[in-house]
Amino acid sequence: MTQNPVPLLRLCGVSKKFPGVQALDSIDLEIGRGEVHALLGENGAGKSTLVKVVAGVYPRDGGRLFFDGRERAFASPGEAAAAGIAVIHQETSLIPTLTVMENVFLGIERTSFLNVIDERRTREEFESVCRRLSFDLPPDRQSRWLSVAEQKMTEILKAMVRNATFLIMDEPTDALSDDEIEHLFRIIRDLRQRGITVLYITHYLEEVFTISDRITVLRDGKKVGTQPTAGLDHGKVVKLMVGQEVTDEAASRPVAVRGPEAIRAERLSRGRAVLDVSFCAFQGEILGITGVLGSGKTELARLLFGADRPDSGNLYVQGRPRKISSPVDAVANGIGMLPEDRKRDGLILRHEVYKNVTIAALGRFSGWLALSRGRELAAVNRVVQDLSIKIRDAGQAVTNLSGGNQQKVVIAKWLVAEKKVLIMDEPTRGIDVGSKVEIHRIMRRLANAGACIIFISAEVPEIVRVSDRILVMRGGRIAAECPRGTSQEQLVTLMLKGNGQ
Amino acid sequence: MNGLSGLWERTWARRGGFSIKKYGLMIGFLFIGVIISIITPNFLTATNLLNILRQSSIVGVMAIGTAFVIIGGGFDISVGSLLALAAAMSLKLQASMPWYAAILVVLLVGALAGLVNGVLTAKVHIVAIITTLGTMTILRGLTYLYTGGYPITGSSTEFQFIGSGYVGPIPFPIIVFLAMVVVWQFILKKTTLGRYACAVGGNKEATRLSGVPVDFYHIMTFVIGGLMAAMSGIIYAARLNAATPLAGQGYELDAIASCVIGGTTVSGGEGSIIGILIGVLLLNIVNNMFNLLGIQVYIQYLIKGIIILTVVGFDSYSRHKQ
Repeated sequence: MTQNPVPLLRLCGVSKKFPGVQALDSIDLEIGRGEVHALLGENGAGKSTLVKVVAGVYPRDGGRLFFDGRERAFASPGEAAAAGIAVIHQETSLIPTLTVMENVFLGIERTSFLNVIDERRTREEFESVCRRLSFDLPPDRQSRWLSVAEQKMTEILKAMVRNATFLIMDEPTDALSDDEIEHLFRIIRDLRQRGITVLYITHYLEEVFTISDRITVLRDGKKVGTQPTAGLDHGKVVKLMVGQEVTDEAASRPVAVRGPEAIRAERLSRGRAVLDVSFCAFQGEILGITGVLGSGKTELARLLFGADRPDSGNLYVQGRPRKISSPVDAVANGIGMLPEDRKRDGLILRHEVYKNVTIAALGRFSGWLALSRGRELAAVNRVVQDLSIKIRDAGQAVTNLSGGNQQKVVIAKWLVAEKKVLIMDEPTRGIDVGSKVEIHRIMRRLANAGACIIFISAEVPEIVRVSDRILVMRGGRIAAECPRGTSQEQLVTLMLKGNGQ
Repeated sequence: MNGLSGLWERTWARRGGFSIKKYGLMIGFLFIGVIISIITPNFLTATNLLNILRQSSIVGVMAIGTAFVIIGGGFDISVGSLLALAAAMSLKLQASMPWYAAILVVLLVGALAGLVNGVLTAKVHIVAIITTLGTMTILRGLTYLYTGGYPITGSSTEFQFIGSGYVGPIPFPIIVFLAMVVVWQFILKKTTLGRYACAVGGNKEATRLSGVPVDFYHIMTFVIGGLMAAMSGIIYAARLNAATPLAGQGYELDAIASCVIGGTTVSGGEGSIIGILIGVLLLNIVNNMFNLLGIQVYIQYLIKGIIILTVVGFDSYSRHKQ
């Protein structure tokens, strides 16, 4: 497989630190020429940071990077691209209004005299590359009309026209059908034949065994190991990803007192994202919902809150059928939500803490004419103290708070609104370890006080630690329900079982 | 001066980091004011000051509505045309109904025009500036149709009092303007309507996900914009006792400038009605200075444009830097 003994990419002790997190901890890695190398790890293991360091998006803090035998320090994605590194992101980076051909040659237009685009030369080159790769793409169609698979092919073509030798593919099979995945694999094998190196990042273990030569597993920013795929099986890979079980505090916790039914979903469906989902959550429990990216858990959360509308299915709140077609309905029915992206969807960043806290229950603080600032501030100060939110005063803008404190402000909003059901979508994402534990504690306290917490997270350790019951989603469906005390290993295995299905 | 800056301080004290810049801008304008009053003869006479205030009141009333629209994250350039239609209607309708009924009808028409702007923006999702560019043209066309292209004149003496009357030494339009400032400042700062308007402009999606019917409040800001533009049209007609189909052209820019000088952020989410009082006064002081110093009226256009670009540029650039 490797004729040239010098590896294409070599990392020596590469590190990257973000405030509060060591995202990459002294990574050593070699990727040979012409191999398909799979990169695995749970959410937050450091996969995407590694990719961004290699592709010149982030500067590294320490360590050395050799590409094609030379030590490099890419200062920008442009420099990395010029060296022959191409990244195909999970989300398409094509410009929807440009045609396939225009996208492929974007920034490297073939021009003639006076920078006029040379249509004929462009087309010839496009067709010759397409022929070489046996791609069948419509050159003049706007890329917004392409299927996801065609978009991926266009991006690969774009990389090839730029003479890329190293292709990084992030979750390329997301939203592809089985046939399309098969086609993509044929393309990858063909690229390998031509000496192109592929770094393949995925959540789906089956794919890794089908396509990769070697596997590298990351965990908590460290490399756990690199091994030839041939010597591994599912069980071994999952063990590498999960590591040793931490002390099992979940099992030692007393069983939560389950109250009456809080919310029940019956055969909820929306597009291909959520398929035929039924479950029931009770007052006083934390119901964990987990699954890999794209498994439909965020989409389910949005359905429960009325942020999107289901195509079919029914919802019951406190046992009564309810039509929840907007967040207004959800709030009226006692449901609150912490959105996945708290800065974009959860907070009005420029506004003061107290305005953010009272907005979901503002009517309560208004007399027949005016808002009572005194009553507002009293309620806010109470909840700020209760959740120990660290702020100077309630008139401070939310934007200056730390991530953990911002998230607590969102929780405070729903506490003040006194909601019985709280949907929390990735409540600890991007939050430092200390605040994370604190938020877990708050969740438990709320549940003990009788609230129903629907806790959505892709981070297996925290799902296991915090939940009373766990639903595993896969391909838009609920694949399994696990009781408290299920091991991380079992959960990861359930999450990663194949695409689709 | 002291009273004015004290007022300013109270309005802006809780604004955190942003206040410094706006404060600086404010001081800059007050500085200009002082210079003007020193170098310009006849500036500091009671007559001239009342004159400035009275000139300010028509645009000022309009700007109150504009501020709500901008705070809610929108933009409204149709208000100048709406002023013309409102002015024409408030005079012509008096041929067939008493003046107070005419006023009521005109205010309703204004609110309705705002409703159309709001629905097109919030429900049909047309970008606000394009929506109001369209309705601006339509309203101007309606004014021509309604007037037949000729000026409309004549109204009852009661009606004229709105524009030209005095209470003691103070012209009535000033009283209307100040009353509106107080009422709408109260609504903005002290009622759920005002709070939700700010929230929608600050982050519509986050507000929606807090269970607030955001489209309703988004539309309401435009309704307020239309209502206040109609009111300014009524004052305009009562002041001149005449309305031409060309009335109010360019007023929308003055209204927007008054808002941004007064501390309303163009990207929405925060603002002040009391700030408008200062914004519109400063704008008219500059105009007045040019008039008293005999400087060409055309220069005033340049100055106004530069003021808007400076203020908005300052705000947008520092926001981008963050």
